[in-house]
Amino acid sequence: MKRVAQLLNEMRDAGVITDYAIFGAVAQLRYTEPVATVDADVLVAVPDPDRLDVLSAIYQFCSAKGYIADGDAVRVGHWPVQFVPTFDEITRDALAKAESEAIEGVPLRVVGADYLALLALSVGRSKDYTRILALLESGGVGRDRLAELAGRYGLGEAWQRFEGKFLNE
Amino acid sequence: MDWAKPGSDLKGSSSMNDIRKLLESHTRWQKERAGLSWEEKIRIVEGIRESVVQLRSLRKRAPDPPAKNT
Repeated sequence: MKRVAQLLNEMRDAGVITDYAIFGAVAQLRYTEPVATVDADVLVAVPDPDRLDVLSAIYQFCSAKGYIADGDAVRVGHWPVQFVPTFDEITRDALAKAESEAIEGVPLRVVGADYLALLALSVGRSKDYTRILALLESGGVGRDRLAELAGRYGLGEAWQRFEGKFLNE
Repeated sequence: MDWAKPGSDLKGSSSMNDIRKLLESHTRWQKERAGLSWEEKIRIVEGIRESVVQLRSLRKRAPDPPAKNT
């Protein structure tokens, strides 16, 4: 993961991306017990988001550094890294409000628990609901905060369904 | 050394106590792991991933079972 952090910082310093933040299971690990995950998900903001081949500059940069594309990810050491360009208000705000961490002394930006849970709610698969429950149980985010965020981003109904199904028994 | 199966020497609610103790111990273990540093948890996950990759490669190398003659 240290190599992933170094690559992301280099990519930002080179202007290939303007910002990044780890999200998904790797980010969840900051709050919960270890969970098995195959890849590392990274939200990225790019200088020209309207281009059709928005990821090509990222892949070229990785290739020049010796990191080869592996399916829809780039393999960096042990980790297949998936780059997800920000595409809506939630992903843009999740990136803007990401927190600074460090891995083996290398700085790394990570999405915080509240936006991690919100992203999971917006996707809404079974494993996303499991993530929300784990984050709530860890105390990383509270129900009130998540309800407030869900309302702000038009996910009030999704939150009510989630609450009714998993929390209001 | 003989190991007693949990609850085998107990009856009724006592075996429930065994199960409760087991669950409590599992919960304590989970909480301890949750309290590890992020770096430590990432190292654990990397170890799990390596094991999964090795298991998958072993499965790929295993020969197919013989076809049935019908």
